[in-house]
Amino acid sequence: MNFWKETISIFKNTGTHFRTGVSYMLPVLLIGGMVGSLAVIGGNNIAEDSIWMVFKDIGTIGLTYFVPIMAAYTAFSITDTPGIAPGFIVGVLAQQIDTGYLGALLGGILVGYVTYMLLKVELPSMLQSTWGFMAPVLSTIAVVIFMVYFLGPPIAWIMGVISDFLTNLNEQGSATMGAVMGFLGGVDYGGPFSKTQSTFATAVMDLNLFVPLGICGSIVTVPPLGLCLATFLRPKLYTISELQYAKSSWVYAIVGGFTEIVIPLAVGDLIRVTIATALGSTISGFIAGYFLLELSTPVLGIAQWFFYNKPIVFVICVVVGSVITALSVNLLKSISNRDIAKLNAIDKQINES
Amino acid sequence: MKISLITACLAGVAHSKMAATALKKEALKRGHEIYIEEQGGHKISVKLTPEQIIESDIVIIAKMITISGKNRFENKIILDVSVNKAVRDPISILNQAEELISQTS
Repeated sequence: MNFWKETISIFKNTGTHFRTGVSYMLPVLLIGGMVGSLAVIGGNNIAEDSIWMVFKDIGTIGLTYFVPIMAAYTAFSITDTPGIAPGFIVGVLAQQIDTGYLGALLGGILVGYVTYMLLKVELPSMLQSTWGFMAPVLSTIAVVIFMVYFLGPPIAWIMGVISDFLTNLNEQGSATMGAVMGFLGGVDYGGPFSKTQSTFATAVMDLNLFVPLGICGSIVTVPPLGLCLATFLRPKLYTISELQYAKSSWVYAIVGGFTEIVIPLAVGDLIRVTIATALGSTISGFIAGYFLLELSTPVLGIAQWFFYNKPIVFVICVVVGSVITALSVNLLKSISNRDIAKLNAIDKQINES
Repeated sequence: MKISLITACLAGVAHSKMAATALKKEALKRGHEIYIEEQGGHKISVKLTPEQIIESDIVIIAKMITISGKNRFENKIILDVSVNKAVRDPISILNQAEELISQTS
């Protein structure tokens, strides 16, 4: 009975395990991306023995090994430290049999689960002491065999199809992709939808595709900058506490590069604000996709401004998206009848109590 | 009462901070003491000291990812919530925490 209960509880939290893997993978990707981008200073034809070549190699290491690290920490999330080594090995294997990011995630979950269950097995005390060593070995063997012979081929096929599809996208295709990503990024400010598109953008870096990250980078600036602009244009439509948040939100947008900061601005008037930011982000993503804006470094925030292949397109995306968000949110708010004075009074009451 | 709070989010930049601020504000308003540890990918973490953990009556974990070092809280009353809930609704989380403590003591 316990077996099923634990199985269900592990798989019910699949999302948490994935996110833990992503959380530990981000720094690896960041180091690889940033150091690799430094090599660009060395020009197009880098000499074999120059320092730029070293930078370039480091970049390649980071952009290769973020996948196994992610698998390792997905397994870690399930079964703690014993999961790290099997997860890492399965992650490397997943890359070698061309299953990439997707295979690594599933492999990480599987090996974590198997290790967890094996460690729960109760053995005679004589064997129990060595079981801690043996369980990860056995789980690795089991999952590796399963991956290579059963799970691997179909996933490799799917990854191949996705990779072909994304590589051969023309302007219209990638504009559509940009619009979809923009919509996802604009609707929930760092929640599950935004994380889906940003995870997708970083995942396809494994396939040497950088357009999705370019799209992701430009849409992330739209909600905070747009709402900030909106409050400057028509401050009368906002409560005092909203105005205070907005005053600092543009700093976070440019320096921090995350959309969570607009949550306090959105919760008071969720539907109207969400429509506006989703609209702005969608259009911004559409433009970025159409011009094949590429970002090869997974840093959002101030640093990303230096790593675009077409900086002018990036600026256009940001400006157009923000202006559309600002205008539409003000339009929507002006036809609603939100009683600002009353809301201010409530805020004041809360602060005083 | 004394509370230990762990918040953890994906990058450790935004959500963990916001959850921590929201819960801290509410806890201080009710006159509780609160110790905070934030975790996440790009976070410079400040760990709770062992004394703080022993002192505290309850451990609140507001997480989006699996936190590191969960074994530190063995034998403690633990309240597990999501980061998003902590940002939006710190009041009900603290109600829940107070209820948990009054049940066990």
